[in-house]
Amino acid sequence: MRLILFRHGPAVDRESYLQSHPSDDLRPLTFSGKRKVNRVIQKIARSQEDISTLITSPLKRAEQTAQIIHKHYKKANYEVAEELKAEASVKEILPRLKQATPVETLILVGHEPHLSRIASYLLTGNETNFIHLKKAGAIALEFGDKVEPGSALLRWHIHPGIFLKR
Amino acid sequence: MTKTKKNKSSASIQQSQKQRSQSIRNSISSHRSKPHWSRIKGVSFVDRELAWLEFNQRVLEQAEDESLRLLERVKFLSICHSNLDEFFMKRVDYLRRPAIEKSYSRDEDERGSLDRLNIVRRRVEKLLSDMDRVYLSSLKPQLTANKIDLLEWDELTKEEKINANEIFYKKIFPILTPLAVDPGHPFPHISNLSTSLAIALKYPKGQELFFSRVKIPEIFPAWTSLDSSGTTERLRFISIADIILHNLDALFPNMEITATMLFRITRNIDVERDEEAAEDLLEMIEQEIKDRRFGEVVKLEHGPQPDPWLLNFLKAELDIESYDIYELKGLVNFTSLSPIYRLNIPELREENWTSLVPDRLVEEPISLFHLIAETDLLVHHPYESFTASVEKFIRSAAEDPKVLAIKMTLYRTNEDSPFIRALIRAAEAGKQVVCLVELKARMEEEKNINWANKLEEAGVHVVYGIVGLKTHCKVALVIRQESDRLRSYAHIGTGNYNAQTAKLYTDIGFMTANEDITKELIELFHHLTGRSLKDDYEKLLVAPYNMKQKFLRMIEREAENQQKGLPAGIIAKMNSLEDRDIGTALYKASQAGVKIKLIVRGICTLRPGVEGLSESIEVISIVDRFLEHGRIFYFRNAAKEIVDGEFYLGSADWMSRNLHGRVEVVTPIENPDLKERLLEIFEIQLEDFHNAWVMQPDGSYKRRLPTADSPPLSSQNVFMELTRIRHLHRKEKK
Repeated sequence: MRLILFRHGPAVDRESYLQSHPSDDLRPLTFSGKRKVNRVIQKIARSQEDISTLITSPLKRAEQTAQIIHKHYKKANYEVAEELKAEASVKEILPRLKQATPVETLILVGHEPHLSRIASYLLTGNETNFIHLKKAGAIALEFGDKVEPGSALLRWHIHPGIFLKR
Repeated sequence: MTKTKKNKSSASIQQSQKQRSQSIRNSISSHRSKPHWSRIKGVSFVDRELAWLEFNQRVLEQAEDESLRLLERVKFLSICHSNLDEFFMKRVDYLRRPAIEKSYSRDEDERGSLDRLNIVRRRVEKLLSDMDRVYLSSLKPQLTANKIDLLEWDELTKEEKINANEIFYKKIFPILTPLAVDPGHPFPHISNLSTSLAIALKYPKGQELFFSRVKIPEIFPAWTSLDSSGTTERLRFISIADIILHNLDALFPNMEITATMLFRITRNIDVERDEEAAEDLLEMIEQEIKDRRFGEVVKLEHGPQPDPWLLNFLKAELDIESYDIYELKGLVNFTSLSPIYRLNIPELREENWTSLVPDRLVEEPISLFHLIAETDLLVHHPYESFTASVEKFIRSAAEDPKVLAIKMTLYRTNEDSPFIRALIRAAEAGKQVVCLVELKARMEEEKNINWANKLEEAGVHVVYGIVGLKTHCKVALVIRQESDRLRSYAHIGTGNYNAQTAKLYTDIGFMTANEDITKELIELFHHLTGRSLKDDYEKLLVAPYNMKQKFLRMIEREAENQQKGLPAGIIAKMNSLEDRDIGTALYKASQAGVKIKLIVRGICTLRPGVEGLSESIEVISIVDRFLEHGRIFYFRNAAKEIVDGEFYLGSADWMSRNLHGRVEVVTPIENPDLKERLLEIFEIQLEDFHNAWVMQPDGSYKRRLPTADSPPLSSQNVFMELTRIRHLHRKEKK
């Protein structure tokens, strides 16, 4: 199984948003944030043909990111998972990943440092994160037959900045 | 914006900068009146983007004006195209956003409004087709009639083709860089405003098409003359692009070229910036210049009958849509005509204008400071020399041993600026020199950073302005030790401290030693360089603090006076008028019956002459050989004689951007002689029956036609003539 961890794109400034809105959960992406997500997923889509399932955190900035990704993978199942909220425990998502078949590719859209902890856990078995995801950045992990902590291989890690130059 | 890590206590610098900009913002917002225009019935404004394009149309009409010299007309066509590029670089990305947002959304029917983009696109198409027409059916044939041939390859003689091929092999071939695109060669970066050839290639027996791009080098003039012998009377030109196009075999030997297409791209430069997160303004701008190189492509221009495969390839790689693509039938780039309009053929060019020494400054040797101490001075550029007045002011200050300090703003300055040199000399001579460099002048930042670094090395205190505000005012202050006290001298202008543009733009400068004004300028500099939060200026109108309020109050006052039966009236000259609060105040004054005459060169969103709304407002626009750039304001204020009303001049347009987001300075002019001069400028411009356009209620413009009583006088010609007469008169007296 291949697993892509995708961090949401740049959202509007937290401080100023909370001055006029009650909850950070509804904070949206900026326009250029959407553009950045689109550009990154556009490039990923050139080599990654199919995605079976797209799972996103329920927060607005993640959902908006997931929707842009979904435009490029229209056939993918779209799921919203509380397990991808920033405060969730890293292990919570594991059962969902174990359901996947070996030929599938999944994308998780979420937050930092939660996503990089998941990556570290799957790569090393240890939750201490040694890798960092920029906004609209992504990591791809590859599994053999079984999805176990420490069993993943790192396929690639994308810093979104490299795609902005054309 | 990438945040760069800095070592030394950057957190505290950032914190204090944040606090400062917050308090500045608060003080701005307290001056901001709520937009009330939208609630008034019947108030309507012209679309700002269309108003911009309408200005371009007026520039283009100059290219058609048979009363102008031919090469001057070619230049106007080129200016029209470069203005259009600027419009795309600054305004169009924002208009495209609804369409792009829509394409990101999962629900296909969630639609953003594409209407404005469509309206603007239709207007641009009309403008481009007019540009094609002017070029193909007017300028090109008339150039031919004047022995200047702009040729295509097939029109060359056999000898000329040999000559062109020789030019290709000797000069062009070695520097060309054909860039192929395949899995090993990613799509190349195509820079803003560059013109390229797109080429579709095949292996001799292959099927697959390959893309390649050759950039048209910018180091040569875009048109080259083929007459090496000097035997013909005609000047025969071919474009570099055409020479390359017909020598492509040399670049791709043995490959099969199946299609070619000349194209030009324009990128967005209005990059979003994150000033709050900036630790250092200079660093932030440097980063932004880098980012800007990679701004979104917002326009692709190509010639007739583009190859569909090439066009689709470019669309996908440049991430553009059909609405970003424009076809030109004349040239893909009319700005490439500069080698043609620069030809030195006196009978086809406007007569050169040499600025004259302002009459009061003719009597040399005289200390400029003594003269200013004696009386206020007004200089009108480019009729009166910028070098002999404003430059001299700073130069003398640098050399005068009695001068202790020089403070000035530099918004846009030219390469090899005499101001920079003078400031460096002054700093080296031990004077206190403060220079406020505005790094945020769009498209100019790169240059400004260079100067800023040069100045700092020489010991000038370089200040980069206020986070969140552009420093747009044009002010200079000289502090001089005189027998018993310090005396300050000031220059307040409408144009930048730039010797190059001072020859091409019409601007006004005011020099004074009046303490009421210099005192407030000193305080303004303290505000700009230090941490003062002063905002209660008495004499000066300073944006974003008291300026808008004061203007609104003066407009209202005219309405009140009119209603009381007192003399009332407003005359104002500026580059652009777009602020809706000011517009609404003017509408109200018009409804009270105040006569309002506006001379607005570029964008004007206020609708003049609308029944019941703005019947007593007239708007004219003057487009002539010099770019109209001065900002002068007049309010009658119940004065019996017109000339006794209130006059102001300075850096601000009546645009929200100027009044809220920039530091601007407008000064009152109180000296009766200078008031006469300003009134004269208004009168001459209002009487322009040659290059004036009258704005219609629907936002379109009609060229004003001469009548029996009003001969076809161009105001700029009148100013040149007047200046000449005054200069001669002074010399004779001497």
